[in-house]
Amino acid sequence: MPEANPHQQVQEKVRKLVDRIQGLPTLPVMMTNINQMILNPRTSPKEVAHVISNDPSLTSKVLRVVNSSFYGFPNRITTITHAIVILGFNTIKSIVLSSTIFDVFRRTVKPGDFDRTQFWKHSIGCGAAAKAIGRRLNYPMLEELFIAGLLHDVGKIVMDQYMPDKFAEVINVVHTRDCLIAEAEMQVLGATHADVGAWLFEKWNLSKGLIETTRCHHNPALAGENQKLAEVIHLADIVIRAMRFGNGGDNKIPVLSETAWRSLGLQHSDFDDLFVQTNAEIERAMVFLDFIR
Amino acid sequence: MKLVKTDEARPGQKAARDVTDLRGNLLFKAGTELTAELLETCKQRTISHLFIEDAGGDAPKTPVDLQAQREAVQKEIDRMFAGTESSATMAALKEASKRFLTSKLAK
Repeated sequence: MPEANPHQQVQEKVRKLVDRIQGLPTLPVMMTNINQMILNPRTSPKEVAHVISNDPSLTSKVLRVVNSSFYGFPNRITTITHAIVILGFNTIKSIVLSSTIFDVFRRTVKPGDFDRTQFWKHSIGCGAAAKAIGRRLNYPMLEELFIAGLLHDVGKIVMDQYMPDKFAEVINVVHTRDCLIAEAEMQVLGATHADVGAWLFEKWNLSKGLIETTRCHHNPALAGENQKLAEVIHLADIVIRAMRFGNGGDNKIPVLSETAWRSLGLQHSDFDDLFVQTNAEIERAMVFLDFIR
Repeated sequence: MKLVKTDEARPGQKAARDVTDLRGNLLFKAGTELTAELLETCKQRTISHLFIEDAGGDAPKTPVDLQAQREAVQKEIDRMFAGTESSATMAALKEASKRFLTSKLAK
């Protein structure tokens, strides 16, 4: 019998791992509806706005983000329809998706638990760094970079929430070995948060770009047609660690892929400016931290 | 506020900043009065330095304080980057990280 290739073996481990997760949330119906509506070219902004406006809490969050310095519009936007007309369907969808994920994975945290505030700070910081890198590269879709950075580590929260004992073991290994969380996950679970996050996004039918970037943010060469996006998130994850903003569960810096670095075409002398630009993006993105409070 | 070695901090002094472990978990908040148990916890979590409140309140940072903070930050960056030495890009990133973090201290 032919041997399974390493990718299949990891997929099988992830399948076994997630099979043990009981009661994993489905993507809220409202989000699924918005995804489907946006695919239809005849959908009007008013129709999507109507769906969002049925949820007052979500409406207020979307308006808070669109009126924040993250977008920096001079005039106040007061309706979701107006926000969609100005920012477009995809941007509004990204804001709704991030808000939904913050809500789905909300939990009361006790002292000693995995620190979710630090985790989300790392994630927001990674999104901000991705945007700063994207600007430098003239990447056309900065929004896509921010969301991919924001959500790249979601698998950690899935594990923390739905297999807390195993995840506590992972964190314990990180602590005792002072190693990267992905190394500890491989030791304890045989798969990483990147695999679990990608699996969740697949299940939720999210974009291929988001799925592959999440899966490959530690190894962007495997991301196929989404390689460039994955390379930016790979670098952003490392840059934000080097800036010591937030904490994704470990306190080490992984080695940057030389292939990714060469492919992005940046210079070593760009790092100083990248830090300054990322810092500015973080300040603009702080409105997202309100979502977790 | 001043930076002291954990070994030299004494019960009764107050933490001037939130104290987190290497994983970023909050151990105790700024303003917490240090106890022998808290100091022991810090040592067990390999927290080598603590910011504590000066008796005289928020006095401006002295050059000695700043130098101690710079050294602590640089030591922490060296630890975080341990094992990446063979990469020239990582070496450049490490130096940029030190410049960025130490420049923030002075502000």
